[in-house]
Amino acid sequence: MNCLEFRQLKLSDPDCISEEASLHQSGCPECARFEREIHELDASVHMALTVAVPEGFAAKVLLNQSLQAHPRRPKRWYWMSMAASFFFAVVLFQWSPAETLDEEIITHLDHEAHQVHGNSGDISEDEVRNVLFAVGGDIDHSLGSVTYASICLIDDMLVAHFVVKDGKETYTLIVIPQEIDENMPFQTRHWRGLIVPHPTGSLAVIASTQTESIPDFLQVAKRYGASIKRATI
Amino acid sequence: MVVRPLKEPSWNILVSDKVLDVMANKQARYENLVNAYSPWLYRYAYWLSGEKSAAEDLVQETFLRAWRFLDSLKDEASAKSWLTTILRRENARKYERKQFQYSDVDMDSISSETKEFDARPEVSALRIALKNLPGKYREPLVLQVLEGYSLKEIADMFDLPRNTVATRLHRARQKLRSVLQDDTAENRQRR
Ligand SMILES: [Zn+2]
Ligand SMILES: [Zn+2]
Repeated sequence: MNCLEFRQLKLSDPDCISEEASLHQSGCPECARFEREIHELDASVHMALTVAVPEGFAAKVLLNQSLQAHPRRPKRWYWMSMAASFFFAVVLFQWSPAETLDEEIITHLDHEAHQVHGNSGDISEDEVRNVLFAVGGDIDHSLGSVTYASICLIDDMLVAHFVVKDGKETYTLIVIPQEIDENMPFQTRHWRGLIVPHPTGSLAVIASTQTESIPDFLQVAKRYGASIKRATI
Repeated sequence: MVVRPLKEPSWNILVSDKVLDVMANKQARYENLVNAYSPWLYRYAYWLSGEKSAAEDLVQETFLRAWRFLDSLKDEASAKSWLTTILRRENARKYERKQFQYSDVDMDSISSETKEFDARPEVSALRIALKNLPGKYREPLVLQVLEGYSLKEIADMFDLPRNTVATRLHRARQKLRSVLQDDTAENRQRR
């Protein structure tokens, strides 16, 4: 290593210690002086860069987040939460571990079927997006008519739960941040559906057994699966 | 049992104790990140944007975004790089929106801002020199000197060859050195 190489190294990466560099430095007083000078420069630059952070800045950041997350409450909220507390007490009481994913979903649907807020009308795209964010998802293109959107808990995972309308058909979609290897069809007395792998983990498409014809779940999963993508930062 | 609305109550989302636990964990995790990394992010944002209020906004937006995507951060050890990357992207987005030019910041406000921090003449001379440095030289220097990022880490973050980053850091130090040398020469003359 010659003087030029040594100086270039020290100017781009002062803390780099290579055997070659230290060998040169110990044999060249000029470069040893240069090295000290660069370290002094870096110490001053460090001081110059360390600008004062505004007082209470972290608290301000946290406050900002909580203001964004909890906007004002509508009035009808209170009684609905009271009704829900009973509902959740029932669900949690009946929660049984070690179920497979489809069983977990069916358990969830059977209990949520009693919920009063299921048919709460048109859900805006922003609301759909906010629910998807909770599970690391995002809207790629519109899901069409959405009549229900909720963040729910299935097997300790936050999932995004939607009810969508496609013409006369009504489907339940559940976006689950858990990967599955292959398509998983299932059927019970009330529900039939299909869970498919999806970029967010997996996607369940469910319809009531009360429908006239059996839907082509693979097609439905494809159509809605394409509308939902993995969120990117 | 406590039942509280999760985020926007208008969604009619009803929350159980179990969900509250998950949310409380998320909140605690988030608070740790804010406490640990907001000083670094503020300083980085300050040197990216060139002024205090823009830096504050940038960090606020970065953390709001981090909150939304917190579940995608799998490993706390990579939190700093993750946040730094979000901040860089937020800044790029802002820059596109406003076409904000670093040189628009007027020098009077810089010198009054820089004086507050540290009264030592060589430090305030350096601050002005750092502000005048082109962004592509200043940014890697901030990462290297302030937070000890390695050349490789910076190269990865900027998606540039390692040698390009090395050259920029080399130029940055050369420029600062010459400013300091001029400054000391001036001081000597005054005496
Ligand atoms: Zn030498
Ligand atoms: Zn649900």
